[in-house]
Amino acid sequence: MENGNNENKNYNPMQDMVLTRHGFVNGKEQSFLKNPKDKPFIGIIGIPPREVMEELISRSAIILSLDMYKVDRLITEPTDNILPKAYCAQIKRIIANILSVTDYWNEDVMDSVLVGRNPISEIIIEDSEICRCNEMGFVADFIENELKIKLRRVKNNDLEKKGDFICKSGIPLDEKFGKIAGYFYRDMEKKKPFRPEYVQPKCAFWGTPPWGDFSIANYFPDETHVYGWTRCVENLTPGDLKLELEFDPDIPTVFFSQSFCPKAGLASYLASKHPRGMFIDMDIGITRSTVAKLTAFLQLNKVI
Amino acid sequence: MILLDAGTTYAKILDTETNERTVKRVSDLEKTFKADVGTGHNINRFAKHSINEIIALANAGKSLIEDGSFTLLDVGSRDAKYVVFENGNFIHSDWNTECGAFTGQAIEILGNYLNIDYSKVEPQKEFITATCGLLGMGHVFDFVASGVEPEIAAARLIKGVCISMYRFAKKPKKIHLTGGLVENRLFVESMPCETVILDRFALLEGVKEYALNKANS
Repeated sequence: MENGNNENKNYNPMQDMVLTRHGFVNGKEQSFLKNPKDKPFIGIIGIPPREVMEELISRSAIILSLDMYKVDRLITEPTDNILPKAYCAQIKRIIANILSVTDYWNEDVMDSVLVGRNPISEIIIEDSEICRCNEMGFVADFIENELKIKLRRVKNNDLEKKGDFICKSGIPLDEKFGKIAGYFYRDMEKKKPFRPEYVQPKCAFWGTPPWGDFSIANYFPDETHVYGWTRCVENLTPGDLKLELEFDPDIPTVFFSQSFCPKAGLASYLASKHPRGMFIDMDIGITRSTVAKLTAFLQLNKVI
Repeated sequence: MILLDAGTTYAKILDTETNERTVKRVSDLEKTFKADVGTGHNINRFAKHSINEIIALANAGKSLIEDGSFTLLDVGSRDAKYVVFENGNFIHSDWNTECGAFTGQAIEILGNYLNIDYSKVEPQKEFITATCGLLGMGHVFDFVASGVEPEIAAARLIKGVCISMYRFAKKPKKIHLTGGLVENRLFVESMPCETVILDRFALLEGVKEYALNKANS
């Protein structure tokens, strides 16, 4: 097979979309975010526990995920004087998102969809180390020290399992990431759970969602099962380390982590334990070398 | 048919009609040069069709190595990659895609700078560990400043590179080696395990396999 820098591979269905409690929305649909005068407008980071989310929903809060806001626009310029260059792209994104939805960043470089909005009134951050990474503590400190905004630090110890139907389905991998993020809200609003059919796997993806460039998902077949922290999110148990450590030794598995993420150690270690595992890390944007390494792995394992 | 392995620094060319093999610097390739099929870091500039480097390496291993169980390691100018097969089945591969400066280019630059003929230097037991070529070269200069002969300091760096490559390839008992560094005697003799040398044209055998399969399909 020829090298795969195909432009079609760069298509990202979540481009320009915003994750809210109403799922991913785009275009005109975003207008409801502009002026939520009569409702509290709350930013969340990470996966707050059920109890906290239910409280927000009972207050009819407009909830904006600061992890996923503007998923395909990793604009890190506002963080240049705050964070080092060699640093986790996802934390950069979160900080950039916070700056864009608060009054901290005054220059009009963010092209915010929230122009005309009321400012966000509160940020809730899930900052337990086990759920995400110890840098969440820094993000919380940054908000506390630099922004005049109410901050609530919460821990998610939920262990009630909701299943991993999306992770083990045959829908395209990039859609899996989007559906899993949406499922989180769906469940909180007691909507009918999305339970696509199980599919026999050809390979697996282990790790967090590839925040730095979702187009990596397009190199995987639809029959890709998802493990690691992403699976914990669908299960609504982001702090379930035992579940996060699981993998299927019988299928070729790509162990992914964001570059400069503490989870890279775990991903690399598990890849070394898997009979047909490979570790990949990625910063902002997938490189030609990483695509070649990934596609060779999938081809040589007869996955694609 | 003209086949090309266009690495970061060197281009290896094979004319399948005459079996003529040529090595030249990539910077010396004419801008109009177009191989029929090729692989390597710079291939998209110089070939009509390209093949993934690890796939080429895997094809090369299956074609050139009789034993169905092997580790084939390609140590190039910028990066290193390997494939492992057992009983003819692919088991594992990896590619140090981003920080491979601790390989051929660092060794070549150091040799030129310190005017070292590596073929006349004995392998060392002591070695320098560093996470990249620049840091490794810094250690070499520190050793030289402290009175160690430049040849000995450079040989310690090469030993460190070899140990790093050996660990990267998951410490096999025997490694089949290809890439530009196979022509560096000190590098080959510094490897901490049994080595079998394939020449630096091995990747082109993999490209040839691909081209023949494509022509027959």
